[in-house]
Amino acid sequence: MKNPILVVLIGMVFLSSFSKAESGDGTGLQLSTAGDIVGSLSKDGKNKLEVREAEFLVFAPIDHYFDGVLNLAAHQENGAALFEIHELTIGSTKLIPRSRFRVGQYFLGIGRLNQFHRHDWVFTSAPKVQSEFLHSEGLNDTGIEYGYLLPIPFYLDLTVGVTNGWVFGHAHTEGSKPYFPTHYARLATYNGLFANGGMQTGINYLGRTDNQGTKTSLFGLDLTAKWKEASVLKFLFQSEGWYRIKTPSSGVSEGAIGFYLFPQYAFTSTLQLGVRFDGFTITTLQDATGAQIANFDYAMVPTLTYKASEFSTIRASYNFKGTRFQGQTINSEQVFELQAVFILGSHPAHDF
Amino acid sequence: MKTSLILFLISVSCAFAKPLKVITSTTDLAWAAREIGKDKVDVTALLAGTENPHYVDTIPEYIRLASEADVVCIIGLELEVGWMPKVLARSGNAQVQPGGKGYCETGKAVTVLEKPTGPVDRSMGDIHVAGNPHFWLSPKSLTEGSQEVLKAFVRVDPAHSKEFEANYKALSTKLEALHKTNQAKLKPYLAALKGPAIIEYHKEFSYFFYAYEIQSLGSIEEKPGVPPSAGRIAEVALTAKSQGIKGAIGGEYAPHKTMERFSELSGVKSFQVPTSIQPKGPWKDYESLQTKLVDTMIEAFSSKSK
Amino acid sequence: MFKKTIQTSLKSLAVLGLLCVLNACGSSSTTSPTFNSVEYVVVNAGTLSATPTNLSGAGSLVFKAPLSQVGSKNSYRVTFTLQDTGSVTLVANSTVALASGVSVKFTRSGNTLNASLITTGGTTDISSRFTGVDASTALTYQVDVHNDESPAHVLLWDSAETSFTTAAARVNSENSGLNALGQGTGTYWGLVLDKATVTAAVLSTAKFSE
Repeated sequence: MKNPILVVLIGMVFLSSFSKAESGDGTGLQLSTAGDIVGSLSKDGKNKLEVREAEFLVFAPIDHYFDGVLNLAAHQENGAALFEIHELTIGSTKLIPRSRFRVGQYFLGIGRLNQFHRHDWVFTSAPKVQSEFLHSEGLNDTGIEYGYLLPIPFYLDLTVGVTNGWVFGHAHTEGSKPYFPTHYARLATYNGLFANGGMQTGINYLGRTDNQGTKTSLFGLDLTAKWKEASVLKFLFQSEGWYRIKTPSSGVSEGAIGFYLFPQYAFTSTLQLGVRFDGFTITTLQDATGAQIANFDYAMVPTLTYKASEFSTIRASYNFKGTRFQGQTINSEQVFELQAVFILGSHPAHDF
Repeated sequence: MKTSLILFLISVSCAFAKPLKVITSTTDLAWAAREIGKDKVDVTALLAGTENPHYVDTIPEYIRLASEADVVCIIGLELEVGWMPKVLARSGNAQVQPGGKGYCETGKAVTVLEKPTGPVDRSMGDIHVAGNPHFWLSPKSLTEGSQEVLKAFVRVDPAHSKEFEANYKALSTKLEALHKTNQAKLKPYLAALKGPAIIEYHKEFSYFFYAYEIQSLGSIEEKPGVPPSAGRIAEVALTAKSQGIKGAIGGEYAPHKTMERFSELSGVKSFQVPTSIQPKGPWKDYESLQTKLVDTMIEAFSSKSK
Repeated sequence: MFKKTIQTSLKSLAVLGLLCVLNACGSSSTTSPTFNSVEYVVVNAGTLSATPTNLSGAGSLVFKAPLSQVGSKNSYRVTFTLQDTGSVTLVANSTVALASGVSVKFTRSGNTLNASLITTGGTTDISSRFTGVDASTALTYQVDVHNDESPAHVLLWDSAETSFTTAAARVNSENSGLNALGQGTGTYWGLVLDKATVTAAVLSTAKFSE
């Protein structure tokens, strides 16, 4: 869907539908839009301010069983903002007890970051582990996902899904039919920690065999801990660690490990300061003579966030990143990023 | 013989029938639900009574509790709009989702105060379009809202509808008596006042003030949900001082520094009080919560501004 | 007795010193040859003639240092001259044997330059994009291989180009009929020559960013 005229028409339909829903026409239609503006400044970078993403999200019950979601997003590509479908699902939380499912195109329910729209992230840019293993915007595909809350006296939630796997990550081609489609699972639990605090942990798996017979297996652990005081997220710790192994049909497997850690503290009701530490390494890298090559990509990203309300965010971060290769720093970069995010329309959910 | 056996089996099954699993958003609704359901219900409140209910997250444990519930009761009026819809959806429990027989939105039955008229948007702060949701601090409004609890119990467990109705009547009588007792307690102090005597941090005491005919100057917040600027605090402190306000009242989660600063500038004593029942604290039931609020009002009315 | 001890110690020291010298001599023989100051390993010696600035003949080599990972995107600047019916192939993201990679192969037929994209998925003829190029001259191209996409995204610009956009690319494999048919599965890059001379092959970070 890359026709700007079509986009304007769709936008007009949504806005008119929204105004009808607001006057209570019984459809339950909820509409929200999100804007994400990012500017970056670095020695050799683009050094410009851009609309990184504009998103239209429509949600409504379809009938007594099913709900529908449509998420259109535009982001800058080759200097133009092109709208694409990010999510289009029909699903239900009413048909099967303790269960939810959705069918269509969506962001896979795996990991931590991948489950949130990028403008809702607690930092501006994707950590390397996310952009390398999943996608810098989040891994998105078309398939079916099922979630089940286990009937036990503590929270344990299992999500499983299978998607086409013709592409993996952002692509502008149809891709190719894989030998084995993308399939994934996540098991998540939750523990309350002292008053007004809690921690969620998830273990994740994703697999796929592409059309060339290269098998990808991803294993991950995500951990998020929060402590709130009144309306303020006083302390946040968010982290993910992933291990990927790629095995071609002939040739040598490639192993890689990546992680990020993000602690954040709120100094006031509107100001939060966090620092993200990223790490990434290819564990199997060898030179042409078979000698192991030490390599490590790192980043340290201090991040200052100002939230006037839950509907707006202004964020400044300084990304110190570099690559160590065979004991030497071969690449280092410092990027200053400024971000502004806003939400219009329906009240956003307070996800944990 | 056969009839006796059937009757015996029915009575045994009734005796061993599990109580309804009831989840409420707030502790106040939990208290009301227990009053109506008695031993026929097993009630759990998701909140502890110390949180600001506007800003709660979709805690996974809430999802698990909702997945096992027969009835879920919420305040509504957009108080829990940020978290409860997602809790209910992710529970996979059709019965307690909007439209299900176990879904109970108590705000629907309440005579709502401060419903905005005219255009409303977010530049005005965190406005509740359906009206002020903090109704449970008024005994009369809590009685009204509890009708929805009763209806939900009757829908889900019609066999005990008569008991629920009788309990609801008893609750109404109890709350009316509580209201009258508190009115009598406040009367001499209210009679001595010559205008507004109280200012609140956030407009969460509107129903309480309305119930006891206490006049409020307004709120320290200029816009609901928006922390007041230094200029706003100074301005409203000056107004409060000149109008002879006796006390500033805020919930326990109102920012202490703001309340202190207001007191410093206005000479008006500030009070931070519980705004919900706290089962793990001293305000374990509705009566003790109301008593605390009334006693605080009396202390405020009796205080001398600096 | 004392004299004998001294003599024994001196002999030991001499042997130790000789071993050190021999070891030092031995280590210099493990250094790989270089081309444009980058170490490489010969895959197929053939009739390859190599100096630090010139490769010619027929043969293949793989550069010693690997690419950062299989799913990496890099840029390669290659300068070459072809004899009639000769060819040169830039191989990226391949195994150490230069197999299963993403290759751009240039072949000369008279004064005509033919080109193709080769992956394990198949070969795509991109010769139409080189119409009018005189294959008898020295040619330089800047080639991006984005092996983090599937299929690999290959862009090629003329040497004089400074604006590395898709619009300025002589070849963009995302255009219809030019698609690469797969991805590379390795972390090595190298060159395959056949009646060709290569005077430059430089690896850098990808020129085009999505």
